[in-house]
Amino acid sequence: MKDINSEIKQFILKEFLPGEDPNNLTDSTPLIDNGILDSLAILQLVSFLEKEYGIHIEPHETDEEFLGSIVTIESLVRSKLP
Amino acid sequence: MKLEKAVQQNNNKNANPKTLIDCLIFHGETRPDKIHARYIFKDRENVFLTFAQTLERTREFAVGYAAFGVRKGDVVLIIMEHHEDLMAAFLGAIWIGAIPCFLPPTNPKTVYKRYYENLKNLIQAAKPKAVLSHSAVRDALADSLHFPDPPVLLVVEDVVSHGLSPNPADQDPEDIALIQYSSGSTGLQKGVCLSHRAILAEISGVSEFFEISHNDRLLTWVPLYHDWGLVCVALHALVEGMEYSLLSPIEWVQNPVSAWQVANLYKSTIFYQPNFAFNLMAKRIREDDMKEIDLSSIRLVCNGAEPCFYESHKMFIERFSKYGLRNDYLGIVYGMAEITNSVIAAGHKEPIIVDNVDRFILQAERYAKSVDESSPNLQRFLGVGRGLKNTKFKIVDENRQELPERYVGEVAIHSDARMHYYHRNKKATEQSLTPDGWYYTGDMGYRVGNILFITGRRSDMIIVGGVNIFPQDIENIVAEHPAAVPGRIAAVGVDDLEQGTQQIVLIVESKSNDKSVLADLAKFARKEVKQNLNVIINRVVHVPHMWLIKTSSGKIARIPNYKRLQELEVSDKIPSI
Repeated sequence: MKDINSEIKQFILKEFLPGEDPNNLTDSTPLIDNGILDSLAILQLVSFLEKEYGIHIEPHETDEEFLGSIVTIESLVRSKLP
Repeated sequence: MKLEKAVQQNNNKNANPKTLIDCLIFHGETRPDKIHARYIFKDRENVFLTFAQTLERTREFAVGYAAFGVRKGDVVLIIMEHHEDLMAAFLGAIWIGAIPCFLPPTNPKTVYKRYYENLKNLIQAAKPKAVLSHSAVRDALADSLHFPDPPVLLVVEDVVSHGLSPNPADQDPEDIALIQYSSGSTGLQKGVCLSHRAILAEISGVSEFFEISHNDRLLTWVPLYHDWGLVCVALHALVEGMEYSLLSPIEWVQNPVSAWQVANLYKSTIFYQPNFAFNLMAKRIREDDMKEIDLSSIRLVCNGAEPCFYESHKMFIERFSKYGLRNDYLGIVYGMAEITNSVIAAGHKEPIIVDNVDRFILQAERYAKSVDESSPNLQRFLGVGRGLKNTKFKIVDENRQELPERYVGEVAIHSDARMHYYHRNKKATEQSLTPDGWYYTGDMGYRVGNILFITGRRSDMIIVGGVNIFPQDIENIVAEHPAAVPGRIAAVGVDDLEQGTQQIVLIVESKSNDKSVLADLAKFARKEVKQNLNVIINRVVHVPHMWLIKTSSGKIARIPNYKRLQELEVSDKIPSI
């Protein structure tokens, strides 16, 4: 089984936190509140998740409740996997 | 209630309107039942307004403003969310000869304290007579207006309950019709004052170039507090008697196909959006989303408000060509609030020109040398077009002497659409607008024949998603962290062709080399900048104290520092603390 948590973390580090120490990004780091993701970055993340896991993320699922941290993103992805 | 004198006057001069109110009355009387505005909502029914309804609502606002003491020449700030009353509130102020100005409302991610602090400072500088908002934010606004001689605080519900204004104020085309405030913190924001004549001149030029008529239907999601939403779409539709559809930017960014859904439903013909949105729509919209979409009504998709990239256009057309969009449907408009909006354009019958130049010669010699497609140093620029009616431009050096073709310098524009002045800021006006009418834009570019190419900015303004961000606003926020060295921070905008806009790179000196302190500094920078300016820092680079180069005048040289960083990265000598 894919390590979804780690894949999401790697994607965020590579795309939105280049050069950052990976230890500074934890499962619960607030991604939106802490200024790591804005509305355009969220769309980039959504495109990645949809492509990588073959799922559909709805417009109402693009807010803090679902994409606010690595934990919530992982749980959103898992809820959509067959 | 019938319009009396004004209608008679306007029926006589309808072919040659002199003010925005002439246009409103003319279309309200001659095509009263035509749909003028379609406000698209996510969580409630869409609202459509005819020209007659727009006229009537405008007169309601007008009489309401007057009842609360607003008079000719007074400034009215309008701070409203996406709402069908936006334009009536705006035109109602103009109707009585007052001067409206849209400001962005708070958004869910705004830190209220900073927002209201900035607003308070702006109000004290702009000295409006009134501030109009919705009742939901009245208390918060009232709290921020504790200073001597504050403006009257109005809410929509109170203003529109006083009947209809019978006649508009007497107005001259040279009267200031509106103010557009630029982004930025206090001291950086400038209020551009535009006359009726300037606005009508701009609209006339754009209409002529793109052959826009009352049969066109405009579409955008760019809000009205951005000059694109206001001038290119809402006012253009008002002047030409057109229909326009306006989406909320929040709705669009969550669901980009919503723009195509509206185009499909209401047969939009012209769609305006900034460059990054071309990338975003091309990449984000799924094939499934397009099943029911017919784009055959679209004849022009217009780009602007930020640097326009060849790659963005290519990506967009490749993605949507199967739905009928073609290269020659793309247009570019270039301009800024100081010249109303758009006075240089490309596309439609004059194809957008792609210029291939040598990027190294461009940087080193400030000369755009032509190269062929196979050059390893290839950099492509899109021509933003030629001067529209009553507009000319030139490229000048540091001494404002005109440069020959292909030499890079500052773009200066002479246009009938130029502003009168910056609101209550004579010094800034004199710096950028000369007595003989040339406006010095701060943009860098070159000319080939009569076509303008933009290469960057003289100032270090960052443009993200069509929004201007002053680097010093970012640097000032970061300087508040105890580990940062104030005055030794550089925020730089870097072109990102993948996203079609700029990324923000922050280079920050610190006296500490403790990893946890540096991590805290980066976290602080990202969080505070996002919350206060609503943009993200894409990359934070820590450098040792005294690493950043300053100019001879003691200012941080942002772009040279970024170039130095790039060079060190290529040779794998990234600075370490």
